[in-house]
Amino acid sequence: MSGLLSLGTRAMFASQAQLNTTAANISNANTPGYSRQSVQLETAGGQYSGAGFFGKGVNLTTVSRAHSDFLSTEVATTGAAASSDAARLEQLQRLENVFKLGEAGLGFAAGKLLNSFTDVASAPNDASARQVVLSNTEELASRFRTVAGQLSSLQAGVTQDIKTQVSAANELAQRIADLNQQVARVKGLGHQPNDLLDQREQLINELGKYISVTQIPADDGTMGLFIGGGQRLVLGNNALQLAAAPDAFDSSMVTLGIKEAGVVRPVPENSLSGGSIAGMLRYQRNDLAAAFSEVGRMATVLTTRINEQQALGVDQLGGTGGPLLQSGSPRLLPNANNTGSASPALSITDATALQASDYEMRYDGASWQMTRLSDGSSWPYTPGTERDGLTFVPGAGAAAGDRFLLQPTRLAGTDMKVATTDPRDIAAASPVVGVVGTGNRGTVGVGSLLPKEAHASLGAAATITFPSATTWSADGGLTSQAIVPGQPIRMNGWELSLTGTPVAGDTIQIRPVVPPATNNGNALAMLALRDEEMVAGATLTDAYASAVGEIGVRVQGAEAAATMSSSIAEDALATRNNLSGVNLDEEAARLIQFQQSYQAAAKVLQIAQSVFDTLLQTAG
Amino acid sequence: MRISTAQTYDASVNNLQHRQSDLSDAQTRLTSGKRVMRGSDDPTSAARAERALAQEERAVVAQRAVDASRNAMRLSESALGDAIGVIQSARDSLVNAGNGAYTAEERTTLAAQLQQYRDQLLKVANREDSAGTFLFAGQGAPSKPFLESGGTVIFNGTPGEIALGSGESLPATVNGSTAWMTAMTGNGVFETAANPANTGKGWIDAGQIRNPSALTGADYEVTMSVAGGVTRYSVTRDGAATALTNVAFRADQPIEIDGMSFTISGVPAAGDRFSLTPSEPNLSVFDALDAAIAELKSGSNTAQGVSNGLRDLDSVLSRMQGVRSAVGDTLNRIDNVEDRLAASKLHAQTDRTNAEDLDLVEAISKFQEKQNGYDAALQTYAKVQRMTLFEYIR
Repeated sequence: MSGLLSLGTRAMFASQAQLNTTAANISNANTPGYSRQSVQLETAGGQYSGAGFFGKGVNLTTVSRAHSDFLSTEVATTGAAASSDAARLEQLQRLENVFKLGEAGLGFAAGKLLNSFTDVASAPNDASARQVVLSNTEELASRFRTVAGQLSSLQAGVTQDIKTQVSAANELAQRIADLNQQVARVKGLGHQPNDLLDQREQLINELGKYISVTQIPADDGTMGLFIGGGQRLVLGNNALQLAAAPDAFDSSMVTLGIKEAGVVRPVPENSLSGGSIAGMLRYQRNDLAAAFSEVGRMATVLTTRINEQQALGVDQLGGTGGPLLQSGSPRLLPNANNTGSASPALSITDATALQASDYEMRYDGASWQMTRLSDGSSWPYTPGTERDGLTFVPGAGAAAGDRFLLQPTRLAGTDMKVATTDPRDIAAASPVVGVVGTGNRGTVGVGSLLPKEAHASLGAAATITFPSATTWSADGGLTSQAIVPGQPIRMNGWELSLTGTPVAGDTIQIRPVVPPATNNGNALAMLALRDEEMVAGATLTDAYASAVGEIGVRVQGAEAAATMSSSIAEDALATRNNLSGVNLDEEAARLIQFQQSYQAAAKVLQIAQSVFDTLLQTAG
Repeated sequence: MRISTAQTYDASVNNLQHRQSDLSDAQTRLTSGKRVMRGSDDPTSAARAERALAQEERAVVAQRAVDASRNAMRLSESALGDAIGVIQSARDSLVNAGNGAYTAEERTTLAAQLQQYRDQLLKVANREDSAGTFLFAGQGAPSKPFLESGGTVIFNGTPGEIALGSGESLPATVNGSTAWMTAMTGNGVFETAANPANTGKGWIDAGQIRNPSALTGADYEVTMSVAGGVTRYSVTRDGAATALTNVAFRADQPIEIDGMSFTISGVPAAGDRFSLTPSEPNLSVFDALDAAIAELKSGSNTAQGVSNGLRDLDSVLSRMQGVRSAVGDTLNRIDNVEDRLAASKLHAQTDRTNAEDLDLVEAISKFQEKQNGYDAALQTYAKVQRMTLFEYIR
């Protein structure tokens, strides 16, 4: 009799437990990271009698969760990769907005400035045409400043974001360490602390969104977390702190470090495989730095070439043209850990040879090594020589291991401004003009005479004679030079294009202009800058077009990577959720199932009671 | 396979968001009309559109340069027209001065008239455009290109032409030196002159070319001699005697030598000399008029003066007409350049449109497609979310 009662009670208890678990499942249907739980039952064994074994009912063994270690790790890893790609994409999309297309772009403003020399060429004396050039110069300088300013604020944004995310990651790491402790504490009880494990797993996933971690479970149930190339972040109940530290060269940039015993040890960026912090560090180091260099290079090259051309011409006051634009100087940053006392100097000696890159100089105690950061190529450097348009003079006092960061164009756009406000300072005139000899019998004429490069005799008078229809001579030892069709006569820094054909004995006089000069030779030379391949073999328009294209390709690449990694992460999450998550239909069905078994168990009790009553009546 | 309920909701919401953002993107493109709004939409096309835009802008400014050239050429053309008119009037006056019946006073009046014409011409030569650029300054002049200096007019500019930044060589000025200062002296090949010390009343005409291949380019001198009432002449070539030595002189009868033919009229005296020298390109409009005015005022050998004056005025007139027709040619050329520029601009615009503009038909049909997709997604979501076992077990 008592057997029946105890059987019924056990069954009721089991069903109640199942109902409770189902209710908990239903409650947590929308809880992220929750794993469906179920009551594990087993038979309570048999009681031997002469007639064999009688079942003693049901036993609750434990409450287990639907879980797969493999799938959980998969979710963490893929989530970290997706979050890294998404962070980089988001930043790149902001960066792309800085490189505007069409009329709003830098390329357009640069073209407009050079184009406005057309009107100066048409009317060299017209003050309003000159004023338009100045206004366009100001417009260009202000666009460069705006773009550089936007890049700087993007950099500041990245720094801020990384700082915020580092502190969020630290918070998560601490909570994981706390959970580790709780898990370890209940380890001895012999049952899995399902909810603690779920919570910890969820926190690890969240941490992975910031920075990818490697999970190594320990025997006491705690989970060890390692970042990068195996640096400890959480071990047992102890969490280390990540730190967003200023870069050892450029304090406006940020690097990741890990704080241990008060010392911040840097975490190598390329050892981080995922997480938004890794994505943003990569963006900062590769994409943003490239954008800075590219914009800076355009600013530097354009400024240099326009000013050089100005210096070849004659302004309206009769003097040599002064600078029209001013761009920021090259920047040289010593590493914070340098021990030497050298204060080197960096100068741009050939703007048109500049690469869109920063450089690192390293001293090994005897010689210098130069590394181009955009592509990582490296070579020994002899101090004072020109490389990629740069000349680096280290000075004395460098110690072995000293490093310097060269940023030739970082500030070029930031500090770009107009160097003059007087329209008369525009050097529209060429210092020399070509005049066809009065006694000429051929049809030779001056197509154009443009000052092209600095030369001591640029403004000097000269006579070009034509000994035959295909040769020319000039004073200064140039005799019987061949006239190559399509190629100008180059001498004294100017280029003379001929029209027509000379007859032997014809001459062209090169005369210095009489101030105030009113010819337009230098304005035409400015126009010719439009076609000059000044930015590493490309014209300015092409350089900007390819910069836009390059950023576009970067964004496209990041987009593809983000789409792919997020779909992989979604798949992993879906697979894990489908295993571990709650299906409400299932729970509803279980609810009915367990309710019915509860009712059945209750019926057993009722029967036991009525059997007992029957016995009492019989006895009584 | 089990499905996690929360997962299905998350996935549906994700999908709906994707579709909605696609739809909104398609709508933005439709309203802006641009297929490429950012470099990443299509990097190659974005770069192509940038280049096309630069080309288009260049065509626009080149058009302004062409307009400037046209303006300068029109002004110069009209200035040259004015100058030609004035020179023709001066020529008419000079023809009148040749009338033997005129008195000295009448000739002085004519000289004054010529002086007026000369002053008018100087004004025309120094004419400037609205921007203050002198039309005839050549490659530029620090101030007025034509200045009075020591009784003559000098060219203060730099000979030549200024080219414009139009991509094709178009002039912004006319070479004032060519137009005003460097007509050929004489008849263009040789210049005849009477020795100022002549005492007779003979005058030499401008001469003509009979046989261009026989020309030598040497200096010739005709010396008259009178012996026994018979006037004879001898011609020397660079000082050496020629076949024409001691030939009987007849007024108005052409004398021919080395392909040249000239006529001495009137009554030259013994010892009078006439010279033939090769023409030089240095006859200025002003010098021609100045010489004629001086000749009229002096009244010594009016016939020779008028003859020389007319010859010189014809020479400068023909030079000026030549320059004027060259300017006219330039104006025609400007029209051609303009056509080419318009074609280049259109090409750039087409290129840019092809690179970055939206194909509306395609875009609208894609938009429709996306709209349908979104609609279907919403409907299935609404249906599926009602299907749960709890609906049935209450």
